[in-house]
Amino acid sequence: MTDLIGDPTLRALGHALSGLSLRQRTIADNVANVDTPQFLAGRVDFESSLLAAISDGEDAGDAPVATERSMAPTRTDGNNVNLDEETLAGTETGLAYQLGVQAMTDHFARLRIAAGGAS
Amino acid sequence: MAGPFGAIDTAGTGLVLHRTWLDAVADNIANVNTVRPTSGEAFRARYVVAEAANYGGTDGVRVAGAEFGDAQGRMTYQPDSPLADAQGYVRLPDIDLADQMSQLIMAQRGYQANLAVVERATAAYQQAIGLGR
Repeated sequence: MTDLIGDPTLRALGHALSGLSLRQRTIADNVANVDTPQFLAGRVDFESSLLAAISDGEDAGDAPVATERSMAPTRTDGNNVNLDEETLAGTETGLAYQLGVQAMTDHFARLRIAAGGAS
Repeated sequence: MAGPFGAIDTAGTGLVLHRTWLDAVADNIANVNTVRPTSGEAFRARYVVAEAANYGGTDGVRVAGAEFGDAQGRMTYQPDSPLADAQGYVRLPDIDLADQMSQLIMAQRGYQANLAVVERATAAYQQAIGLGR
């Protein structure tokens, strides 16, 4: 046993939460710039690299997080933020974040049992 | 760099921009019938210019400045006006009310969208604060 607190599960969950948090900030940035001319919506991808790191048995905390600009068609003002898309992605990200936090809380609860502490 | 509750700050910049835009539109509409003598400028409509605060980052949006409408305005024949020149003309602003109303809706919807982001981010951060309890 290397490290009880910084174990792979927590590393992976922590990485997912910070990825989701960055995505949420990016969505906020996209919505803030919904009327900015020449603004291309930002996209965050951490799932594919996280999945690859977990399946290869590497440290999930070091998986790279990719941010890029959406290449979707723009409006006449050169902006391609789609409010429906952003709202949907925002709701999804919020729920995924809740799920991650719940999983982390459960993990801590198990650690607490292992440590012999009362609930 | 954003603070610990970055998404709220970012959405806040969107709120500020759209509020500024709403103010500008409100001012334009309030002055849609403002009469000026032909010796001076007509009332000039204000157009807010938005700009990404840090394109590529997540710092939101900022007001880059304002553009102003035509100073010539519309020369209108109003001989009864005390401001009319010798030929009976005054300057009215060159503001299209329909255009202003559609801008009003866009600014309002943008404001609402940013407010929704603030609420969603608040819920997520509240979750994170309760972590490990």
